[in-house]
Amino acid sequence: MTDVAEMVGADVRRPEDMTVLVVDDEPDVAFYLGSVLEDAGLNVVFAHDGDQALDAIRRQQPDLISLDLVMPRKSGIRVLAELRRNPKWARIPVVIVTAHARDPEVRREVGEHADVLSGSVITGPSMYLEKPVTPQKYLRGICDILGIEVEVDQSGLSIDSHAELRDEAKNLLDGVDAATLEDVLGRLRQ
Amino acid sequence: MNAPTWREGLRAQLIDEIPSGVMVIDSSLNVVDHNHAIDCCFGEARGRKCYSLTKGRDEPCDDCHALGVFRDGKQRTVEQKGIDVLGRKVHYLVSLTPIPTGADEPEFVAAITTDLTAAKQLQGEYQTLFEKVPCFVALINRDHRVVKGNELFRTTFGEPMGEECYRLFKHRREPCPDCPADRTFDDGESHMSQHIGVNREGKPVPYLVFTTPISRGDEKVSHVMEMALDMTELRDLEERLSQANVLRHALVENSLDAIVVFDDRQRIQLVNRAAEKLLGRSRDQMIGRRIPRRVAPKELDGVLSGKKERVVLHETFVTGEAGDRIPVRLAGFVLKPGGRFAGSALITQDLREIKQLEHEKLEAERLAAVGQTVAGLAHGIKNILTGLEGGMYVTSSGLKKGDQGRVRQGWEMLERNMGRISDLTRSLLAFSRGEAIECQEIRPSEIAREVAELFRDSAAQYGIDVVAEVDEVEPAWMDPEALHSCLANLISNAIDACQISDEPDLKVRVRLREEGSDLLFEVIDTGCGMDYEIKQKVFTSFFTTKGRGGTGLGLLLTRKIAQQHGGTVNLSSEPGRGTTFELRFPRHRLPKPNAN
Repeated sequence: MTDVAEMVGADVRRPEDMTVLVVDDEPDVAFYLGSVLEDAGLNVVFAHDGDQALDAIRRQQPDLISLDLVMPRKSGIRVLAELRRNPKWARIPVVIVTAHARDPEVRREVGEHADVLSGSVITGPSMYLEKPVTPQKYLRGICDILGIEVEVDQSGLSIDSHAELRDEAKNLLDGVDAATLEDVLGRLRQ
Repeated sequence: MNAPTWREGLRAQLIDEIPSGVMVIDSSLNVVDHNHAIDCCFGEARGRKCYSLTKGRDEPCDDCHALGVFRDGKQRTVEQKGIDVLGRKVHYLVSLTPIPTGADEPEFVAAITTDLTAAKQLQGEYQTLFEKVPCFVALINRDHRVVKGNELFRTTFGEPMGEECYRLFKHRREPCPDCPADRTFDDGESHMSQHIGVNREGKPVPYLVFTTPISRGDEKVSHVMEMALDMTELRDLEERLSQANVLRHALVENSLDAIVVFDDRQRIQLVNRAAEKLLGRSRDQMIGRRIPRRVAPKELDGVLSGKKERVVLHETFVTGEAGDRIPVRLAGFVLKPGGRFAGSALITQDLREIKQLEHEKLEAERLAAVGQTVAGLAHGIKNILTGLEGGMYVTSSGLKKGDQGRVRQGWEMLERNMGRISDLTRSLLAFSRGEAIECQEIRPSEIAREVAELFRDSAAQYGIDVVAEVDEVEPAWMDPEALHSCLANLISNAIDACQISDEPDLKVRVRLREEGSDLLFEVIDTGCGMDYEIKQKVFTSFFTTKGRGGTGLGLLLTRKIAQQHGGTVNLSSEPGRGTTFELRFPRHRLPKPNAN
């Protein structure tokens, strides 16, 4: 890769040349994701629903879109569908960041738009991240797609040391069953 | 002529006064003498020709019988038709006799007339009756031959040309073994019996026959009159009636609902199988008795006594034989054939199985809801975890850079997401709170106004007008706290929808009215409305469009409470035009004060 990059020469991409559109209806999440990217030197534009996202893309075409799926006004799935219909936007890489991956409703919708997702998630230059997402994983994923290298500031990302614990919690949540939940609810009641 | 003179006088008087007409005609057909009866019938007769007098003719009749008597001197009796003094037709029998005068040829003929008009008329009437009577009439002699048949007989069985009755009636070659005419010939009595004949088209004709002996003076019965009634239509009717009866009986007997029919004195007349099962007694134990009070609530008394047309109790209880409470639906109605009170009927639907199924369905729904909650809870926590993750990142990067503003921002994120954990926990607790609602008699209008009032000020800060349009409705048996939180939830949703709307005139209307027998709450906003996708998801657990503001459990909780009261939550919404949420409680499905 290095050899190829040297051969291309001036084409090496720098973070400050890149603009990422962060779309999330939760201001805290948008702020968090945006902060991670800004701290790494990237330019960030925000949108809080599907309509705002499309407006932002029309104003200035971003190099990458970080997209939540369930939002008011226009869901992420529909934003994605509109992107794929427009030849100018079809090749913009998209990173989907969602907590609703296992929600039956979202699954159904994803099923209906399978063609949209198959173009972006599986074969396209995009990826699919499930919340909660760590700063490292998020930054690494986006930089890989954009083909840029950034210094990962270890001190700013110190909480990464809890990654294993967090992954364990996430796996537990994914595997929770009705009996366990009832047990937990019972304890909460007491 | 040496008879005493008184004899002459008597004869003249007799002749004048007998009810028959007597006139004397000479050979030129002049009426030379006549009695009073002739005057009465034909008018003044003296000096007139007989044909002019009796028939109004100008010349003698072609077949004049009087002239015959003058010719041969023989007495004769004939029937004649003439015209009386009033111009009416008269029918009379006339006897023409030569009057002996000693001459060789008769010089005078006495004509004695008897008026037959009345008799002829009677005969004609009998003939018409015989012909037109709507049954078969046949006159049969001792040889079984049909001497005469009336019109209906002839058109049904054919013209009787002296054939035997068994050939005509039944197409047989020999007398029937059960011949009704024979019995009458034997004992001279009338008899009645049923037969099946064959008509001219070869189709069977069931008939009921009456035989009457006819004898003319002598003792032996010479003829038998058979009068037969065509039973075809009656048979058809009987058959249809009996089919209808079988059908009715099968329907009533096999109905899954208990059916009891009472007479006008409230005594049981009919009980079907389901009623035996429900009442725990056999029909023999119940017919003719009154229904036990335990299975006939007081509300039915009006119907049983005929004072009320109809009573329907959608959900009530009766007591079983063993003292167990049985949930039922009851319908009682009066029976008024021809407008007269003849009794009443009671249809009782045993709701035990339905209740059991409903319970199982609720249980299944609850399990499904738990399943959804499991998935939803995991995602809800994941969202909060993301928020906490973000808070920690922002805080720690702020600390590293020595940026106090960033640290504060990170800390606030952490606080907010801690708050969300409390909210989530509270909602979960409310949602998973036990099944029971605590009902009492409440005034729905008061609660609706109270909740609307609660939001008025806070909504006004955002320029949103909360209006209560509340009708005064009858009290209802409901859980006031639960109803309160249902309405609060819908109003708070409506205010949120208004806040993210671009419309200038923002309003949330809280309405309450009776619609039919339903208690109907509506929360109508002019907010952003929902598109199809959001409408699909609003009742899904942990679905929220409010970002950090919502737990996604509100509507689920609202629906659960509505269902516990036998009600429903419905929504209609259009993006940009607002949303209407409807809480509908059919009154007959509300919890009952005496239940549980």
